[in-house]
Amino acid sequence: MRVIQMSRIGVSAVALLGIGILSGCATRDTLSPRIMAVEQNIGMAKEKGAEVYAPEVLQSAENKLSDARSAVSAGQLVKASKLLDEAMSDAEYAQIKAPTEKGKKEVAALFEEIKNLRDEISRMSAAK
Amino acid sequence: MKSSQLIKQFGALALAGTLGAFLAGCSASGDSTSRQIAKDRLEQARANYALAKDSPMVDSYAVKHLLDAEKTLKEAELASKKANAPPINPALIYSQAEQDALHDDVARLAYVSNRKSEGAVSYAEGMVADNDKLRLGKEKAEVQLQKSSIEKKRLQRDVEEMNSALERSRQELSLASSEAERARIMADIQAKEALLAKAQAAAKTEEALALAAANADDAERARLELALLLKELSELQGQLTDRGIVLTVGDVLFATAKADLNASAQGSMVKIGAFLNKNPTRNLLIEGHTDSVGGDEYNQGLSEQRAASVKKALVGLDIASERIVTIGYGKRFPVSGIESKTGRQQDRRVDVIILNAGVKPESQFRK
Repeated sequence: MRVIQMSRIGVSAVALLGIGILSGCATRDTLSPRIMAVEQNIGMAKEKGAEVYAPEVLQSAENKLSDARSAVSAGQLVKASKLLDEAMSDAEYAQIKAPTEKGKKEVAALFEEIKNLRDEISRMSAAK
Repeated sequence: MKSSQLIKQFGALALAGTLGAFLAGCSASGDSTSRQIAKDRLEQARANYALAKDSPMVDSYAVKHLLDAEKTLKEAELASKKANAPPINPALIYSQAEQDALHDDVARLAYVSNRKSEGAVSYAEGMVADNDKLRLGKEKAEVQLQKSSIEKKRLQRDVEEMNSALERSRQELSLASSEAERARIMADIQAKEALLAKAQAAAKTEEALALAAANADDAERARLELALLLKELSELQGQLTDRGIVLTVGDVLFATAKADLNASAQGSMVKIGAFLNKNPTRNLLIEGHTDSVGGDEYNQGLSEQRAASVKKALVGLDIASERIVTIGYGKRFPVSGIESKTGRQQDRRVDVIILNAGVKPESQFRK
């Protein structure tokens, strides 16, 4: 029984260690630079037009960052670490999505401009 | 109470306390919720990865992003396997909090993988949009030119008609028999001259506007083309400089201590080649550099060979040999300024400089 119990504790310890590693061994010291990195990436996403072209993803990043800060204040460091990972992936995605969506709109506008020009040409030719 | 029972209870309490403090944040929800979220997210991550993997666009433009998504998805799958594995020994079953923590981790990894797959698709779509912009920009310029040409012809016709009318009025003037008639015709001529001047000015303005629009379109297309090239050659760390575009073929793109380019670099060469083919007035200067390890002679030789290797690859892609000049600088121009493994790796490189239009490579040698 003692052996089983000790093994039980051992397994739990290994599980905790594993989760600790996976979540970047979250401590307040390691979380601070990660919070800053997420803030920076959110800023870059905004510079790339995410507020207009990827608002939902940007909002998700901001919400998760805010939740992560609250979790740090509440001492829930593992939760904060998980939220920061997710916020970072949102912010990175927003940085890709925003210029892409902007580009798609520009393409649509170009199509429209070309169509209008062709229409004008048709009218000009008809008016000859 | 037997000691084994004490140990059991103590162990359980201590563990519960530790886990409670450690996992309180991410495991407030019940096991079924954590498990379900992890399951849903993993399914979504798998589906989005499959979608990205099957996309020819992603295959062309976002392989790196896709590999990143694949790596994270594998981590999520591994975590899921661990979280859902049946206990080998029933006595070693995970507690509720432990199970929640494991499922939360699956959910986290699946979420990240999902975003990376979406990012791969979006990045590829962005590249397609950039290419479309370039193509449509050219089409728009052509249609504008067509419209402008019709407009110009119309204005020219107006001018010609006005000139004829003016000529007729002048003939009328020479045949006029009375002062009053001459005065009327003169007024008519003046009015027609004013109209003609206006029409001529309109024709000139139209021509100038068309030319300015064409120049602006050309500049915009050139900018887009450069931006696209830099994006496509992201692994070459492209930089726009006064001399032109400097692309760095890093040490990792060469076989170790050799001058041969690896397969990844060959792909980049194809893109550089395509750009040079589209821009025949741009020449290339290829500079080979090494780190400070080893003798001068060896480094000089290696830098020259690596530069020559890049030239050979481009000449093999039908770029005229005379457009490309190579030079080896050995270890004279390090970029890192750091005596470390990473620093030395940065110093070992070949800089491919796509010079500005018309610039001769020899004029850009370093002193």
